[in-house]
Amino acid sequence: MPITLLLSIAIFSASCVCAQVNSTLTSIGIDAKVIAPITLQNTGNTPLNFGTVSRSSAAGTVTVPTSGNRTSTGGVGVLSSSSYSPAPFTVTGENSANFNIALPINGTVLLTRTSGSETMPVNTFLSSIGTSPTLSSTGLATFVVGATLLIGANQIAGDYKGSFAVTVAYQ
Amino acid sequence: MVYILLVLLTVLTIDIYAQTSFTAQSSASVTLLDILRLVKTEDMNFGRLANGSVGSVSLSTSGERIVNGITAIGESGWKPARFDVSGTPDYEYYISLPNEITLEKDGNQLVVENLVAKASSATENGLKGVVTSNAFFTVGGKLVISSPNFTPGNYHASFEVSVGYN
Repeated sequence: MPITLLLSIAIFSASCVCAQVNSTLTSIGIDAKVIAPITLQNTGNTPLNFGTVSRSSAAGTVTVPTSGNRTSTGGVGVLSSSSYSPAPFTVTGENSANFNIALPINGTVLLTRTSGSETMPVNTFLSSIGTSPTLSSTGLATFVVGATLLIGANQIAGDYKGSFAVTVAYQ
Repeated sequence: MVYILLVLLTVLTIDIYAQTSFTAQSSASVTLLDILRLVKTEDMNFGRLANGSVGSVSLSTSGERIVNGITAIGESGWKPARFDVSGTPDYEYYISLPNEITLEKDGNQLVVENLVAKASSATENGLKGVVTSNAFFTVGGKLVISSPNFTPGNYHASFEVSVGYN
C-alpha cells in the first residue's frame, strides 16, 4: 500500500534571522494509492497427490508434474487406475503486479507413514508458472505445484502424508 | 526587505504494504503398496497320453482334463499350474500369460495354446485377480497333438507368468 505524498511548501522568509518571518504554506497534496494485499490459497485444499504406487525391491521415484502424466523411475510402478494431482494454488493481489513464488527446497519436506514413523522425502518442487510471474490485469493468478517423491528400496508400504508451504511475495 | 522565496517541493513516496507476502500450506500424500510377489506352487502337468492319433488335451483352470481325439492314460496326475500371489490386500492385479508354450524332447515339439488363468478371487477365467490373504491363480491350456506319430517320452518346457497391480 504505497502512499504518495506530494508536499509542496513555499516559504517566504526574511533575509536575516532577526527579521520578521512571513511564512505561507501554499499547498499540501496527498496522493495515496492503495495496493491490494497479496494472498495465497491452496485451491479447494486439494493436496499434492501422488496417488497409489507400487515398488519392487529397488528404490525409485514417482513424479507428479505440473502438467501431463505421472512418471516413475527405478523399481517404482504407478497404478494407472489411481488418481493423482499437482496441488493447485490461487493468488490474489494488485492488478498486473509482479510477484515471486517460493517453493520448498530439497530435503525439507517429508511424507510420514500415517500408522508409523517411516518417511519419504519430496523434492524438486516446480510451479506451473515459474517463480517470478505476474498477476493478471484483474489481480489474479493460478498455478499448480508438482514434485518428485523418493521411495526407498525397503520402504514400508502404507499411506504416507505430509505438508509443505508455498509463499508468494510482491517483487 | 529582502524576501527569499523558498520553494520546497518534496515528493514523498512511501510504500506501505499491509501484506507483502503470504504463505499457504498444502498437504501431500501417497499410498505405497506392498511388493507384489508371485510364487509357483504347482507345475502344469497334462499327464500321460498315448500316440497314434491326433487331437488335443485341455487342462481347465479348475483341474479337469478334457481329451479330444487321442487316448489319455491314467486317472489322475494332471494339474493346472498354480501360482500364489501376495501383496497389499484388496488391490486388483493383472496376470500376463504367454501366447503359447512349446514343449520339447530331443528336438521334437508339442505346443500348448489357449492359455487361460483363473484367480482365486474370480468366479470365471480371466486375467485379473484381487489380492487376499491366500490369493492364488491357476493356469490351464490346450496341448495340441498334430501328428499321430509323436515321439514318446517326457516333454518339458518352462514358461513365464507375471503379475502387476492394476
